[in-house]
Amino acid sequence: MAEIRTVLIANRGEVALRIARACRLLGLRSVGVYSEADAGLAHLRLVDERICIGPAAASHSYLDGARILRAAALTGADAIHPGYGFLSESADFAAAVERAGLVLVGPSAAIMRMMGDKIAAKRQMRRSGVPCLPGSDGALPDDMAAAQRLCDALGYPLIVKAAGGGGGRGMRVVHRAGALREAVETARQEAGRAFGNASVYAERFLQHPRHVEIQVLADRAGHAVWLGARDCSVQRRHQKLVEEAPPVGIAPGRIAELGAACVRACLDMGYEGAGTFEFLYEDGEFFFIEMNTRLQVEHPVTEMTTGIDIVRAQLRIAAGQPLGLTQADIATRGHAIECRINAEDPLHFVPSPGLVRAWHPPGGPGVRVDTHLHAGYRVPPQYDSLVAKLIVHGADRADALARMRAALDEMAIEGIATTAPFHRRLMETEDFRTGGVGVHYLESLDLETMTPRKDAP
Amino acid sequence: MTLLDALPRLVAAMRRQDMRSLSLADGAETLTVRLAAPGTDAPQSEDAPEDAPEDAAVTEVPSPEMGVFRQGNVIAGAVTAGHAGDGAVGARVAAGMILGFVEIGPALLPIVAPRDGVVQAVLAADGAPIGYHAPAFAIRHE
Repeated sequence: MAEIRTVLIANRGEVALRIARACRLLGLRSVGVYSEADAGLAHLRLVDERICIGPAAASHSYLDGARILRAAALTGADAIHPGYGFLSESADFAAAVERAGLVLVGPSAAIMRMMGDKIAAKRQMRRSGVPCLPGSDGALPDDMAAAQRLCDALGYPLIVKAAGGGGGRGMRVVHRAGALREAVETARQEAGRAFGNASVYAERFLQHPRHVEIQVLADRAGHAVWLGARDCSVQRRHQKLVEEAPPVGIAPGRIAELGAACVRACLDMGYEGAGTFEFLYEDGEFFFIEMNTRLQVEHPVTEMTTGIDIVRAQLRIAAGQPLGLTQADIATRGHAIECRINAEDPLHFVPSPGLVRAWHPPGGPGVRVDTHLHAGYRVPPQYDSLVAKLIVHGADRADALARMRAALDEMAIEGIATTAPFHRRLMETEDFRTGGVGVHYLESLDLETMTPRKDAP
Repeated sequence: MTLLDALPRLVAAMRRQDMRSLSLADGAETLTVRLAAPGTDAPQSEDAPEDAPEDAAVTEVPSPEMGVFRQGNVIAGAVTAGHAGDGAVGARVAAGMILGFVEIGPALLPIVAPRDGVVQAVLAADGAPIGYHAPAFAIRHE
């Protein structure tokens, strides 16, 4: 594999800045690409070369693999870092990068494709001893009577999911045997329309799970490590809002067993790069849901607790360098919390793009702000509304919570609405302060008063 | 293919037909598209201060695409590809005349003068990458 000299950053916003910084650190030349709506992005001042790749519409800029590859050819880039979102989990794009003779900072297209197919991913996990939800272990048969027998044997409630899906589409919860047929048929229709793959599978439905995930790093030479666990249960409509490490109230020994299983899975499939194994956790048991074959938004909480720069590690691995770490070198220290600051109304989460008139980031010991914001920046309406990540690290969770409250109070942004007031209220709720809330926690709250909703399920 | 995948084509067709509202149904999905009047931006919390007025006597001519900039050679009203040089500066051009090209693989897309004038500057380097809608020429109006 060729040496990497120039990295094209195929993304925007805070993650593009994060990658540009890592390139600087490693002495790599970097190229920033941007859409017409994004000429003022912060990372474009830090990169060595920049080029406008297309109009504001992401489908003709950041999601257009051919344009990204053309920009790479024009600027002499030999590697592409996809960040998160956009093309970061597109196996087709990864294959096109490989065909162009370039290095994608991430695993191979073949592995991305396998992990993108939920049925194939689950099969691979079972092989490596990663715990999975009891389920149909493959697509439900077309013969409805056979599907019914299979699901009746699994028991109810269960969830029918699209094999190629995500984001809640092609998904149906079934509470009783009589409701199965309609759920399967609707899920198949939705899955076919949304993902071009009508295969659905069934697995046990958990009532009050938490979302716990394991961060891994693996190199080409067959070394892999896990970097602790994160709890990302505070979600709204499958979108994470708060992440923390380590998860509260789960014995470190249990997490270590899970981490070891994830490392085994990496080695078994020949995984390369950074990745995340996502699990549901309920009644003391972990169940694999999916693997993200890319950098994640919430990676900083792991960086703060392990001291490892995950983006720098990604770039080194892509350049063919060994990890240089063994599991014995990795220890987590203290507690980290991240709040996603989105340009959204803090009660209804409606996007609030516009001009940032003033921006005062918080600071002090244990406070990190990953953002591309600056006064005078205009948040465009076309893209994801994440504008900053506020991350704190404390000696323990109570210390981290105190730092987060102080940092949220100190942070000031004028001109756009953000989710910061929501986070400030959340930090005061007894449930969050105690820790260990489930993924349905926010749905159960009246977000104005942060008290249980009267009509909560 | 979902209704959403068809959205860009639908919006383009609506713009052509000057339609403001459209509703479509496909099985369980319903899509309603309402377009703002042309020239209206998406709602924003506050407008940016207006940029300083540009030199009204000069028009910048953007590259229509991202690619390699080929300056072209303006000679007596005709432009040919592959003849780089500063000869274009000072050349009198008419609206519709090709000033240069952007090369995308084997294709050459023309960069066309939007109005009559004199080429005041070539704003990109011949043979160098040029971005989407990046300024390629400046034309001073007569």
